[in-house]
Amino acid sequence: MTSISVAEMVWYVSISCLTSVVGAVGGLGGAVLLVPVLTATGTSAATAAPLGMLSVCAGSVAAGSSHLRARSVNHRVGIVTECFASSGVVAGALLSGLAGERPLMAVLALAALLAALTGVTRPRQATEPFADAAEVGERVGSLSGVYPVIGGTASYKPRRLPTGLTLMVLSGGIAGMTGASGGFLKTPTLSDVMSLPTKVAAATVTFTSGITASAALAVFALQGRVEPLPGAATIVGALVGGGVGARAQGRLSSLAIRRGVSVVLVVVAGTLVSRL
Amino acid sequence: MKVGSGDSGQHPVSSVRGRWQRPALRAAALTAGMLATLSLLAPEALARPLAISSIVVVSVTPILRVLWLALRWAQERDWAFSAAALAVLAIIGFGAVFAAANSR
Repeated sequence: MTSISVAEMVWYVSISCLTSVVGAVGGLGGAVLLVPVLTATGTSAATAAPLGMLSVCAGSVAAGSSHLRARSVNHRVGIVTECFASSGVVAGALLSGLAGERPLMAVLALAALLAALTGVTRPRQATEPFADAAEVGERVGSLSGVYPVIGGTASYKPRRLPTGLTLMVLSGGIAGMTGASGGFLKTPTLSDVMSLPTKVAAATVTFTSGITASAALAVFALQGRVEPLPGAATIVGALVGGGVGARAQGRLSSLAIRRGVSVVLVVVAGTLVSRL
Repeated sequence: MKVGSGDSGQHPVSSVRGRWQRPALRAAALTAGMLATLSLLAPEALARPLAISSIVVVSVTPILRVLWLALRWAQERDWAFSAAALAVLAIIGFGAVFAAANSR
């Protein structure tokens, strides 16, 4: 595709912006909504997946600075889990280049349903004020860390590593095949399975999602599946939407947004299944 | 007030606090946004290279971030995690080589 129409440009920018805002506020990520919506509205699954990964990459870059300022990212946990997630995403992306359109749509519909389920079953994320303490941060030679809580600090240490790392491979595989970031699986894995605080889990997943997306995009680009102009439009929307979503996060009910997104995901999944 | 569930007392606090990452990430977001916007407004001859440039900036930034962490952790003599970061880069590189080989 050497050029896109104005209508197509507006469509890609708008849908990427909207899904990024909703994903940031709801805590599900934007690509898990973007990719099924694009596919259900006529974009092929093979083309929509790279656009989803671009949305994830842009969102990760846009949000990285604020998460670093809040000292909520645990890079060591992120890198260790990413060793496994990247393996999954590379395998998934390579497979998606060989698979036909219908299997990809089926996996995408399943991922949308799974995201809908995690959206309504995960507990509400409370926002915590930043506490200026010299001990806040991650630890050299360890996966443990300290993060700020109301009135002080709290330390944490990941648990159930084998189970958590296995789920990371699965989330990476889904990300590679569908173009969704896999954050709807990664965040519950870090917080509920590996016992990380929700705030640390969310910030760490945002960091690792960018790496996962880069790994997938390297494969997609070499498969010739990244369309430059729709990709640029998606980046614009994701950068704007991620910034708006980060500012709106404290003002809107994330639980209500997640429930609304879950309903949309179920409808989109049904649309994809009907087209199989 | 401190609440503990980890072994933070046995390991020093990491010196990697984002002093360089934060401005670099902001610069990357701004650069990618400007290139992408220009690509949508530019004439056809310039649109595609500008769009590709924005995609490259967005895609490469997380990889550079991992490389940065590998170097900083090596400075902290945290060899295991530095090796893990290099392993992530190796996995991405392997995927790219495999995809390139299969695309021919």
